[in-house]
Amino acid sequence: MSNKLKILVPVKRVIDFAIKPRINKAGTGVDTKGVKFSMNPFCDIALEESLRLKEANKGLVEKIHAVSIGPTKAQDILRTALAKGADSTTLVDVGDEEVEPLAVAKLLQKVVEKEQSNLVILGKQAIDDDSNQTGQILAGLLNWPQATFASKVEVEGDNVKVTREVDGGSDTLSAKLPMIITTDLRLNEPRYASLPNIMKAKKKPLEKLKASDLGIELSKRLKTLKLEEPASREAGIKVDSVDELVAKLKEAKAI
Amino acid sequence: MDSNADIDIIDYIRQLFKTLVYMGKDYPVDLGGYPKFIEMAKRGFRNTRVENDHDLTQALAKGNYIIKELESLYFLKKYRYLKRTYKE
Repeated sequence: MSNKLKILVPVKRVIDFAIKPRINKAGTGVDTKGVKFSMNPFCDIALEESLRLKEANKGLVEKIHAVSIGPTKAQDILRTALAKGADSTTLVDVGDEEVEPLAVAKLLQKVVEKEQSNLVILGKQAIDDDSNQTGQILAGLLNWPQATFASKVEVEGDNVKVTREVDGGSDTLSAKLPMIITTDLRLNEPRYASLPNIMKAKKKPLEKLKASDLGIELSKRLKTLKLEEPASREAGIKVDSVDELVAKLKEAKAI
Repeated sequence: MDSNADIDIIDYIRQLFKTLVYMGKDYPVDLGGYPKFIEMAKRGFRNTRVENDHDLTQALAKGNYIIKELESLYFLKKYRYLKRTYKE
């Protein structure tokens, strides 16, 4: 196994974090018309980590390949990835349908084989479906070691040392390449894609594929039955005197 | 305004404005979003009095400063949202 890293970074196009999603009329999904989309923040952290590995260790990283599985418009997200410093990209166009983590992992497995990647850095989860499954399933399919929720990544030759965020502390793992890393929030601070870099990214390579090109059939195993807004909080009341306050508190069995 | 240096400066100012417009597309919706931002940017450019070289350097420095501030604002907004949603 050569020491050069070929990093694969999957990025997902999601509804922007600043926007409050609205449930559609059928109650089975969210409205996406006229809504701003951007790169999933955890994917952004994953991309940033691969860029930092490349910049901090000269000659260590051979290439960073970003891949997105989503509608045609996910191109914009890949352009952002290119602007930030990814070397090449693949768009797996699956139309507007939401793809389940298993299918995503199967597609990614094919892309890993195609690109001969030996390190896959993914965001731990997407902020739209919050599945937190893709990295783990991909590790299972490829039979590679995985380090989830990374808060620090160090590469020493063929070994990768990853510090993970766990409840009330940290957990340090070491594994040989190839491996899967999923990123947590505190791994790094993603950079901003500047305007000149976005313009330059238009000339960088963007490969377009269909799921069938990779020999994967997208069949759904899950059906969304219902989507509901959380119950809204009831308004509070004002009390005029201490006595009233005490009475109300007693009524609520708080004292 | 006819020498090459002046044209360069005008080009630089135009580039600065374009960068701000581009960054404004990410301006937080709860703070007024893109329309509010673009109005502020236009007003800022229109109301900046530049009478000598010193004023010009200062105005351009302020423009670049705002770009950096916006980058940090966007980063913090995103970080805090994620921390609130996934860490607490």
